Amino acid sequence: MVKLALRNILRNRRRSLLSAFAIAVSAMSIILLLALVEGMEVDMRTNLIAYYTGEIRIRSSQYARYERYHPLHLSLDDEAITTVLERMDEVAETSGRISFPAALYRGDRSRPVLTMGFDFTRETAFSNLASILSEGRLPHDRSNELVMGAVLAKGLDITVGDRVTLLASTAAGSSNAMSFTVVGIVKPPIGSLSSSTLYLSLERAQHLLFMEGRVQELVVRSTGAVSLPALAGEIAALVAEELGIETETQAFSQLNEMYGFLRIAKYIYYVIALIFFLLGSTVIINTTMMVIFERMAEIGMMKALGMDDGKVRLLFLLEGAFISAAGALAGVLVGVLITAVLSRVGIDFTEAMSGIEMEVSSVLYPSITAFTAVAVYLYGVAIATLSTLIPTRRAARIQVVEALHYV
Amino acid sequence: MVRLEDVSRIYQNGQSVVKALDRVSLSVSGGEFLSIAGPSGSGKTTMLNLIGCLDTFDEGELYINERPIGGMTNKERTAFRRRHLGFIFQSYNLIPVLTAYENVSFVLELLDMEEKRIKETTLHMLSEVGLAGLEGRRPAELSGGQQQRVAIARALVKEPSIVLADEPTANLDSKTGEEILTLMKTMNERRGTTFIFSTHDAMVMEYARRLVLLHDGRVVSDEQRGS
Amino acid sequence: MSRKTLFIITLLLFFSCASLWAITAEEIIAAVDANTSFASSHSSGAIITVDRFGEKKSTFEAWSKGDNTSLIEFTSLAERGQKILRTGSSLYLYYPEADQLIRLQGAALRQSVLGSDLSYEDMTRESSTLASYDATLEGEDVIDGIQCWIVKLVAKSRSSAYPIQTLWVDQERFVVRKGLYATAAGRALKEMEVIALMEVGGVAMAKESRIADLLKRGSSTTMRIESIEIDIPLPDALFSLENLSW
Repeated sequence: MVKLALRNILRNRRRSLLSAFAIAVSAMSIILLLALVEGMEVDMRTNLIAYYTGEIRIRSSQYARYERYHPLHLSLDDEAITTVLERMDEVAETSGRISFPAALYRGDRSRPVLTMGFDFTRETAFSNLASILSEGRLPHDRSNELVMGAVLAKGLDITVGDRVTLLASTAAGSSNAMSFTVVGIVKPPIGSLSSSTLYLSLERAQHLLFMEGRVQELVVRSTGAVSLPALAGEIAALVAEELGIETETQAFSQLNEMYGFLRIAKYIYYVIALIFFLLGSTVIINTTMMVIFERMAEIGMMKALGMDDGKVRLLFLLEGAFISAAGALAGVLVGVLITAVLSRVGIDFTEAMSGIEMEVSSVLYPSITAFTAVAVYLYGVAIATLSTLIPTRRAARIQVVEALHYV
Repeated sequence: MVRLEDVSRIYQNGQSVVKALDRVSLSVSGGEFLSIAGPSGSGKTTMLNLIGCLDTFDEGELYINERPIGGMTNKERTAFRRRHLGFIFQSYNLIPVLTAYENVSFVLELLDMEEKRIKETTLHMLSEVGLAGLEGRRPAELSGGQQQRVAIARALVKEPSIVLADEPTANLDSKTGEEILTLMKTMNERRGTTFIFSTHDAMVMEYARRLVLLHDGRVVSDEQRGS
Repeated sequence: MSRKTLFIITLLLFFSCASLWAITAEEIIAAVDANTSFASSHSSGAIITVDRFGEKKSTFEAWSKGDNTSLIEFTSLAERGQKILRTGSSLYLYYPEADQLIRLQGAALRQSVLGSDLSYEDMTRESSTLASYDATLEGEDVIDGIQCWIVKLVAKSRSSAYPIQTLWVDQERFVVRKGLYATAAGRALKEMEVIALMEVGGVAMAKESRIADLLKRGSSTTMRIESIEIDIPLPDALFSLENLSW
C-alpha cells in the first residue's frame, strides 16, 4: 500500500509538487512568524530586565495609585531595604533608581525628557550602560554630569562637552533646575530610550530632587533558584516584616502588559498557524479531488477486486500524508535556514518603530527552538493530511458500478 | 453455482422507469464457459454486474455457491468479491504504477496471504499466461494483448469460483483477441473455473460453450453449443 | 497726587453729580485696576498649597515696578534662592544651580508654580484689564454681607488664559471679592475667593485669598501677603537679568 501510494504521487509530478509547495510555503511562513515572535519575546525580556524593571521591581505600595502624578515623595529608603535584600540567598544583585520627567533646556530650546538616576556601579548587573556607550564616559558621582541617548543628542545638536540644564519637579513639591555637562552618548537598543532618555548618577538625581538617601524604586536580579513571582512575594513579606514598609514588589512579567501579551500571542499564533496550514491545504484538497476524479475507473476496479472502502481511504490518505510530509519538511527546513541567517544578521525595524513606545529593540533577532520547529512540522503534516480526508471520504463512497464505467 | 431467480434491476431516470433486467432467471454450473450476448442496452452488462456483486438488484434473488447475495451489506459483498470472484475488464484496468508482477500479487495481498506464498503463486500464474520474463514490466511497457494476459492472471491467481469478463477482447485486434480467448478457454479447462463473459462480437460468441441471448432485459435464448 | 487717586476722585465726582448716570462695567474695572496698580511695591508673603498629598508652604519676597515688571524671590528652604522675573511678556526663572536662566513664554506661563493652583501667569499678571477684555455689568450680588457688582469680562484675544472671567466687585471699596475664571465655552478653570482684606495707601487690597484650580481635584492654594510697602524707590537694575543671576 505504501509502495502504491508513493508511486501514485509520482504519477503526476507537477500536481504533487504544487500541493507540496503550498504546504511548504505555509510551513515556512509559520516558522518565520514564530521565530519573530520568539525573538521579540527574548528581546523584550532582556530589555525589560536591563533597562526598565530588573527581574523584580520594588516600589512604595502607594506609588501605583498616584503614578501619573509622579509622586517622588513616595520613595524608599535605599540602604535599609538593600541591607535586607543582601541577606536573601536568592537575591543576586540590587540597584536603586529614580526616574523622573524633566525639561531639558539648552539656550532657548527645551525638550521634555525622561531622566534616570542610576548608581552606575550597581547598574553593571542591569543596564550596564558602559557597554552601550558610543562616545565619552559615564558620569562621576558628585559631578554635575550626564549621558544622553544618541538620537536625543542628535536631535538637539548636542555633543560631548556641551552644557545643558534640567528643570524638574522635586520630591518636596517645588521645582529645581541644575546644569550638567554631557560627558557621554549612549546607544540603547530601544528606539524610545535613545530618543528621550538621559542618565545621571543616582547621587546627583537625589540632590536635584531633594531625595537624599532615598530612591523611587529598587530593581533586583535573582540567582534563578526560585520563580520570580514567588521571590517577589518573599521580598515584599520580608521588607514589610523587618522594616514595616509596605511595598509593591513584582516580577517583570507581572509588570509589563506587553510582555504578557507576547506570551499569549504565541498561542494565538498557533491558531494562526492552523489557518495558514488550512489555506495551504486547500491546494492539496483540490488536487486530491482531481486525482480521485481521474482515477475513478481505477478506484472502481480496486473495489471490484475486493478492496475495502477503508483501504481505499487509507491509500489516498497515505498519498496525502507523503506529500504533506515532504512539503512540510521542505518548508520547515527553509524556514529554519532563513531564521538561522536572520538570527545573526537581525532585522532592522528602526524606521518602523520610531515613535512607538515599546520595550523592544529596534533590531530584532528571530530565533526558533528545535521543539517549535518539530511541532510546526508535525502540526503541518497532521492538518494537511487530515484535510485530504474530505475528498477521500467521497472516494470511498463511490459506487463501484458508477466508477467502473467512468471513462 | 450461480442461480438467478426472477431478478430485476430497475433504474429511475427522473420520470421514466427503465428495467435493465426484467425478471430474469438463469442457472450456471461450475466449470461452464458461458457467453452473455445481446445488443447494447440489452442488459448484459447489468447482468454481469449483478453476478459480480458489483451492483444490487431490486427484485428476485441471486445465489452464488448457494449463498444468497441479496441480503448482503456492501462490506460483505466486497469481501465476497475479494475471495470468490475474478474480473477481467474491457480496458484491462491495470494499475499503471505497478509492474505486471505487482498487479497480480495485489489481489493476493488483499487476501493477507503470506509473502512467500504470494511470490510462488504469482510467478507461476504469470508464466501460465505466457508472461514469464515480463514480470517487471509496467503496463505502459506491454502490448494490449500482454496487458490483458496480466489481467487474466490477476483474475485467476486467487482461484476464484467465477471469472467475469466484460467484453474482454473489444480493445484488441482479432488475432490477439483470439489468443486471449484461447487462453481463457484453456484456463477454464485446466482449472475448472467458471467463466462468464459478455460480448456483442460474433467471433467471440463462437468460443462459448453456452450462449445466453438477452434483449430488453429478458433472456430470449439460452443454448448449449459444442466445442 | 498719584494717578490712581486722581482717578478715584474723578469717579466720585461722577457719582455725586451724575446720579442720573448708572456706573458702567468699564468704570468698575478701571477702578479695580487702579486700586491694584502701584508705581512700585515691595512685599513678602506665603503660598500655602493643600492637595491630596498634604500641605506645603513656601515663602517669598516680591518687588514690582510699573504695570508689568516684577521680581519674586523664594525664601523657603525647598526653593531657596529661586527667583522669578517678569519683564514685558517674558518670564525668567533663576535656579541657583543652573548655568542659564529658564525663559518661559506663551503657553509655558500657564504651568503651575511650585505645584500650587497658581500659574506663572497668575503670579505676574498685567494690571490693565480693559486692554485685553471687554466688560459688561451683569448685575449685583451679596458676598459675605458685602454688596457687589457682578462684572463679566470676555477676552479680546483667543490666546487669553481665561477667556471669560466673572468678577464680584465690592461696590464700596472697588476690590474683587470673588472671581470665576472660565474657558470660552464657559467651563470653569479656576475659582478665587478673598478671605481677608487690608488697607494699603487708603485702598483696600486682598490680604489673603484662596485660589482653587478646578481641573485638579481636591487642591487649593492660599496666597497671603504678610507685609507690603508701596511707591518706594526701586532701582531699575533690580529687575535686570544680570541681577537675577547674582
